[in-house]
Amino acid sequence: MSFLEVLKFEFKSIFTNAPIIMTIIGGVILYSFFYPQPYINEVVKTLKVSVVDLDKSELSRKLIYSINSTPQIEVSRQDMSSTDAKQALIEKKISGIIIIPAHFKKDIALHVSPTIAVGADSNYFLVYGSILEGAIKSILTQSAGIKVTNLLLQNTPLKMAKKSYTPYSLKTIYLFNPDMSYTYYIVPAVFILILQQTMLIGLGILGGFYNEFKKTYNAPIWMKISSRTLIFGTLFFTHMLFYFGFSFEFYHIPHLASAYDIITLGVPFILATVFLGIFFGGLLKNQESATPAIVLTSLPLVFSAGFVWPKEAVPELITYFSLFFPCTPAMQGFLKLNQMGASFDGVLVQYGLLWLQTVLYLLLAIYVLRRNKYKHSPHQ
Amino acid sequence: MIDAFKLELQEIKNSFFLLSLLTWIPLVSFLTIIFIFHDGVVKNLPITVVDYDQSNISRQIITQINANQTLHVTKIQTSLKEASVDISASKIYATVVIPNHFKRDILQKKEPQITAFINAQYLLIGKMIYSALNTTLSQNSANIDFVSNLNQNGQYSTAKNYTSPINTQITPFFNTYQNYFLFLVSAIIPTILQILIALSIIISIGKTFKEKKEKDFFKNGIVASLIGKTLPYTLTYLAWGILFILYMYGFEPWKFQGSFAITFLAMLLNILAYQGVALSFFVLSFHYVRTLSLATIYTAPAFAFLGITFPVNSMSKFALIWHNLLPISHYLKIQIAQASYGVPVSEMVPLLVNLLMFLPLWIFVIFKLRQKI
Repeated sequence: MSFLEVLKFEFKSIFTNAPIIMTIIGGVILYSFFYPQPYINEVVKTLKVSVVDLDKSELSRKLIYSINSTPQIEVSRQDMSSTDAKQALIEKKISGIIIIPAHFKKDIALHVSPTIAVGADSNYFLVYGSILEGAIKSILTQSAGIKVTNLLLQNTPLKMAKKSYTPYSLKTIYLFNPDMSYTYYIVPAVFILILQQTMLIGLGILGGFYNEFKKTYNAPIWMKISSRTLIFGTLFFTHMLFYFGFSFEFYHIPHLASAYDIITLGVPFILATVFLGIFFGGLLKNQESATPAIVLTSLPLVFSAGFVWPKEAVPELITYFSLFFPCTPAMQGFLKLNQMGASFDGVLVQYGLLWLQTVLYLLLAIYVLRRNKYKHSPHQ
Repeated sequence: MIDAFKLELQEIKNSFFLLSLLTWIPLVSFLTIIFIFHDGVVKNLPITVVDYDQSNISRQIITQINANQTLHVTKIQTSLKEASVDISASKIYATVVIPNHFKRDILQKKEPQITAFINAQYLLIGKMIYSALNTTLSQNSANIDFVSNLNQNGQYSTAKNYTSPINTQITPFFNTYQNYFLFLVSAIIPTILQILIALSIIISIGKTFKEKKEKDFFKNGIVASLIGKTLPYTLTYLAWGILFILYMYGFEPWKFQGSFAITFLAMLLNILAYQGVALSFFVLSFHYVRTLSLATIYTAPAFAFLGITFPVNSMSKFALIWHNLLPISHYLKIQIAQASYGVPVSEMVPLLVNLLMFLPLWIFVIFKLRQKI
């Protein structure tokens, strides 16, 4: 068979197989719209809290007012007791509780520091975090305000009193994702995972299909590998450009890297994945094992890549294991290049690793196709 | 029913693939997830400090930041430029800049400002660092203030009160352990289970039709045979689910607040719901591999739609609909309500009804199977 015939044969096998098409074209495009859905409304909406005001003084009302004026929090109800408030929390009518103790004003006047209890449902950490941030900020401002009054009572000149209420302050600047957007956080990395998984499932089904129906045809292995690489490589290169070009634009995700850098890192990512997919497909006895095997690796891969959960907290064994999957260095590399504006020098480790994987999986792909050819050969 | 059950057990015994999906694959997936999150508390996130002041106060601040277990100061850097390169390369997650004349400005009560540059691309890590820095620095700032008040007033309790007239006590309700292990693992493992439940049932029935054994399987009536055929999977995954809950709340130090019975009932309904959906996908086309792809599209992205990492009330309309179309969303609400809140069982009824609403799909499956066989 000539190379062109092999290419035609592979092309036909791929594009007449509905599950493969569903995965490598349908899946890829569908996921690009589907996966970001939870996050597209962006910022977490105002969170409703209940205040239990056991003091009922003008000072406590002032505090409630200042809590209500923070952007994150809306005081949607006031409860008579903390039991009532807790019940409302369980019924999901509110997401947090603030308790102002009895004698709050008196204690402040007597210079006994009263304690305000802030509670939120920490089963949902994002909700919890924003509520606390908002509540604590307003309470501390309030606290500082009282300090100014105290100093004034001691006849400190106003200007000095205002200045001395805190020795120094902390200003926080959030880099790369100043709005703390969930889309920017999750979507760029998950896109890489989707590309890898759909590629592996597609090549897995194809390999399983050949093995199941013992469809060997007499062609040199290099022709089989290069024709599959050509078909999958071209298709996924286009997908990659679609994701990094169209989808990023569509979701207004910042992209700092040049097209040249994206392509430079993208080429070994796609090659390594295609060869891994050919190897993986060669191992399968039938088509149906491909999807379950790959899909079950998704969650562990996401959580060990170091962007959702810090890499410092992932056990080393898991980290090493995850480095065998092209998506791990690819996610790390693309995030650095495209989201954090690192220069290409900053991703050399990931780049090298992807080429190493490319060589490793090419050798394994050749090995497994050879083995299969021998196994399926009619002389046996 | 018993015949089909026995026949299915035979099938499983002869199929390495089915056997794997019921035994070591769930085990390995669970252990991997447990292993990843086992520390639960994040320690020693690398950051740097750019110290332009180089005074005893700035050095004291650095020591205190380092003493916070979440943070680890890897380097004292001389320029912000150097630090920003390290941040872009993800070598460090943040840098804290202490300005020139910092000590002098404090003494002159000019309220100088420390600036923290935090990488927020890694959102969760960014939040952890902010919260650790904020705690450390406000304590440190209060100490400096306290000492200066003490110098002015000479009285400890008054000085303390001038420093912070109101205390805040943070009470994390329910997940009182403030531990990411409990929070994430208790959602991830049921998510993996729902993938396994859906795929294994398709493989089971797909294999039967592929090998043209459907006449054998369904010879004693469709309903009874279907129950017998699916029972091994229902029971095995129920056992995995129960085992997981017992591990989390027996072996790990958390306390289960509510009713095990209602949680396990919900677990059973969740399994039946997923099987109903998966089998419905199958009887639409009776095409085995195509159904697997369809079920993957349905189950694989579920974690994002659960409302665990991102609250449900902030989701888009479409995401909210999808959230409700996934049985796991309703199951997890029950699991969390029971495990963490101990909500009265009577209040679980609407959620259980949501799960029950998936069960009529089984009628559709039986109807289609009748037509086919």
